[in-house]
Amino acid sequence: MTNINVDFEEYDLPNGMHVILHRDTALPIVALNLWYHVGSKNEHDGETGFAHLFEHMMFQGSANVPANMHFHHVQSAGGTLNASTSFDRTNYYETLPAHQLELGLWLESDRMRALAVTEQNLETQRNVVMEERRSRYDNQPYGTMMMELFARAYKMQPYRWPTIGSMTDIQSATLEQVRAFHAMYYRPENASLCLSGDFDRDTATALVEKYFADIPNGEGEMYRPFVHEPPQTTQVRDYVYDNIPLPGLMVGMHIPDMNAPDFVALDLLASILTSGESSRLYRRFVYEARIAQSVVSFAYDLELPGLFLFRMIAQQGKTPEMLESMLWKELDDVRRNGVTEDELQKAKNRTETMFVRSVATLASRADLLNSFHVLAGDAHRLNAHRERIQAVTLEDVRRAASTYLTEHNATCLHYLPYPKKSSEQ
Amino acid sequence: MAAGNSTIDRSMPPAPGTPKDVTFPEWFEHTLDNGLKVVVYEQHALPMVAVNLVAHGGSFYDGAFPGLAGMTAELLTKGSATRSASDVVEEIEFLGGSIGSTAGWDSISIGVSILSRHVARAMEVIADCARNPAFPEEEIVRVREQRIADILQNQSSPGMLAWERFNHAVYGDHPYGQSPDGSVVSISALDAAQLRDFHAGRFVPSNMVLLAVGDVTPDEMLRQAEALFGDLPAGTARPTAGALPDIEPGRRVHIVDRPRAVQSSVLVGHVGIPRDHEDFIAVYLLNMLFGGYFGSRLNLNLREDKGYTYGAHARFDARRHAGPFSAGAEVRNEVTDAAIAEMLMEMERVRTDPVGAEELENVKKYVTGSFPLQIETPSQVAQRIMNIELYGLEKNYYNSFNSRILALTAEDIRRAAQRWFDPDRAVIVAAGRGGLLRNTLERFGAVELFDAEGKRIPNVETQAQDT
Repeated sequence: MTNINVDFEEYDLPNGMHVILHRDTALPIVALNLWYHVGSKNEHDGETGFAHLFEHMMFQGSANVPANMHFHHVQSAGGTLNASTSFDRTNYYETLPAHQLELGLWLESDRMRALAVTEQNLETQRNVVMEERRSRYDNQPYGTMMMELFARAYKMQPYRWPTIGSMTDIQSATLEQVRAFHAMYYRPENASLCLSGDFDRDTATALVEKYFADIPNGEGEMYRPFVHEPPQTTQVRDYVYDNIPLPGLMVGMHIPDMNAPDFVALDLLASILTSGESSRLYRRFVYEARIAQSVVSFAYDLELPGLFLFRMIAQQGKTPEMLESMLWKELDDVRRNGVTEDELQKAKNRTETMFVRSVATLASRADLLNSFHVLAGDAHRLNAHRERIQAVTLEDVRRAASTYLTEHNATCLHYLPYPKKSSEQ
Repeated sequence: MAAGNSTIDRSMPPAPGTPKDVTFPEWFEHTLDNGLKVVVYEQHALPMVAVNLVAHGGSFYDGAFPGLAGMTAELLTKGSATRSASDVVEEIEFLGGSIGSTAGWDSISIGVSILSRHVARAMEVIADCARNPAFPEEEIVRVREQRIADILQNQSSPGMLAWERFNHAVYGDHPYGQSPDGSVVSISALDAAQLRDFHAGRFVPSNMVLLAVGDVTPDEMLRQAEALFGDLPAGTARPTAGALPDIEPGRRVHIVDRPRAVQSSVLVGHVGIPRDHEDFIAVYLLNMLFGGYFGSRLNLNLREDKGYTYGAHARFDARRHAGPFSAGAEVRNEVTDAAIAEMLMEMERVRTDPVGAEELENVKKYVTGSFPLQIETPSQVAQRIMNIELYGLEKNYYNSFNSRILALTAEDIRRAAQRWFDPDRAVIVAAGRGGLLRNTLERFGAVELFDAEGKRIPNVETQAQDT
């Protein structure tokens, strides 16, 4: 195994904010990465998309930084920045020239302390987010496959609505809700800050103290849904029509959360099945039988129990039924006979290479450290993760397949082109 | 909580520290006797290596067969004299690596990315693929089928539809006006003899660069290069010169009809600038300010002020010859014409009004300050070294880049805009609801309507559609 460790130190400020410091002075750059442990799963039915809309509002002004000046300050310092929202978390990040570290801390602390947003900002961002939804999902071929599957696979868990939210809910978001959301979730005890790159350790700790230590925690208990689906006993299936030329198939099976012992075996199984052109299902579906144009699978790593997902696009003239029946045949083989030693070894080799690639930039290292701290409870698991992967056995993989990749545990969605009406051009 | 901290002044941004100098890293070059150029950039932070064998001349030379370079490239990893397609991919993927071969407008290449301990073996595989490609018939059939399915897929993607229509409207039948992925017709017609011929004309040592970056040493790479390629005769490459025919600019308004679209994908632009042109750096800064970053005029106007779009941007696709300039955004149906009017207005404004001192200063600070971020990984460095190779830029191009940016004045930007922006003769393309767009875009010029396959839709059939 390759001997790479991402070295870091970590501590909490008295107000509960977590701090992770990873020093690497190869280039005079520093990455700031700030996670808030809140995502769309903290939303309620009827208020979907709020966590993400809120992320946009974090760029719309804080006590000392007028609307859009956040972007302006970072970019004219030679930095890059962005933010993203998922089911489980929201992250904000900047990569800056090292001598601009303090600027980044000033900006992030200002919007953690006090937002200063207006009704007009909110109106514009509601529009921007509705266009985002159209650009990324509604107007994209196959763009809604995932949300349509999640909506049917989950009955209870708050993953059943998409992070982007529904148009109706986005439209009805109010400024009052924006303020309440900030007070509820954007508090130091719910945040983890990682600095990665070229900084002096003592200077950095002093600056973090200076800008973040006096930020108080809000009052009231944060809403943290801990809902688990009851086990699924019968298959769910449905059909969706979309503006697409070739039909598709999406299948999802319930699996445990990302920290459960079986998760690593499922992760490797996904690699064995569809990672690379030599993978099992790519060979069967795309190369040999030529019934699929593409085949993807992955174990979705989520804080609450997630899904093992398959997504295939049919080759011309082939149907989702053909894809599905071959998928079940292939999965039956894996459940009965497992996979080969070579396949498992290859998946481990590929995972190792992917790990090395994933730590190639300061920004990605910072994000991974925060990810392991916030969602796995311990940043050290970043370095320990590879040992967990090496420890997976053939029997672990076979058992994971036969436990989770079953017919009754699956939600199957056939994606079909709109029927051609003669009146349409 | 630390009580003593309540007195910090948060009202102003903190002063920056002292910047450290960053220079573009050194790299090693050596040309073998047969003309193969070996380029090595060493960076040992991670145990990974990327090796690419790059030949000059790509999709620009597709001629009457769009997709020729791309399909030739793809077939390189699909079997050699002694390895089947499956052998190739299995051998590399088992070691955790990835192998790929691809064509750009100006080059065709095959490469691997792999842990450094496996690099010798991986290089042997790419040398075999590059020297002895078999172009097996059954693999050609497979790739052809895949590519045709991809082309069909693209016909449902609004962004791809707009982009292909835009290029065709600007460049007509020249390869720059065709998709480098080809068409159903051209892909169906391509055969092994054409692919073999395209390969033979490019993969000769005097026309190739072997570029290795990451955890390797020049000594090791030179030894490998000599062993794997040293015996090849120098050869003569197919001419890689050639010129772009004269393109007659002129306002055209093309709509690609997507009946159920909930947004329009808009592109506005015309012929741009060749990569090696002396104005390139001024145009780079001009475009950044106009539509190249979040703080650009287009994005602040269309997104942050009007809320028409999730993002607006502009780009000069600078190639060996003058590739396209385009401003683009995905906007909701009802504001498509308003968004286009704003794009044209912004193009005109930067031509007439001098850029303010503060705006110019900010964009310069962004471009020059983010330089170290552009050279963080070996692959970022590799891409820039390849730009120098492919476009014949001077060797210290990236080290003089910042000072040349800083030297530009507001007048330089305006002059560049006057020469390289031409709103009156810009082509306008929107992929969206044909009936709606036909009515609203007429104010920009005579509208022509096309379907997803590129066929012209006559007037009468669409008038009553989807209002």
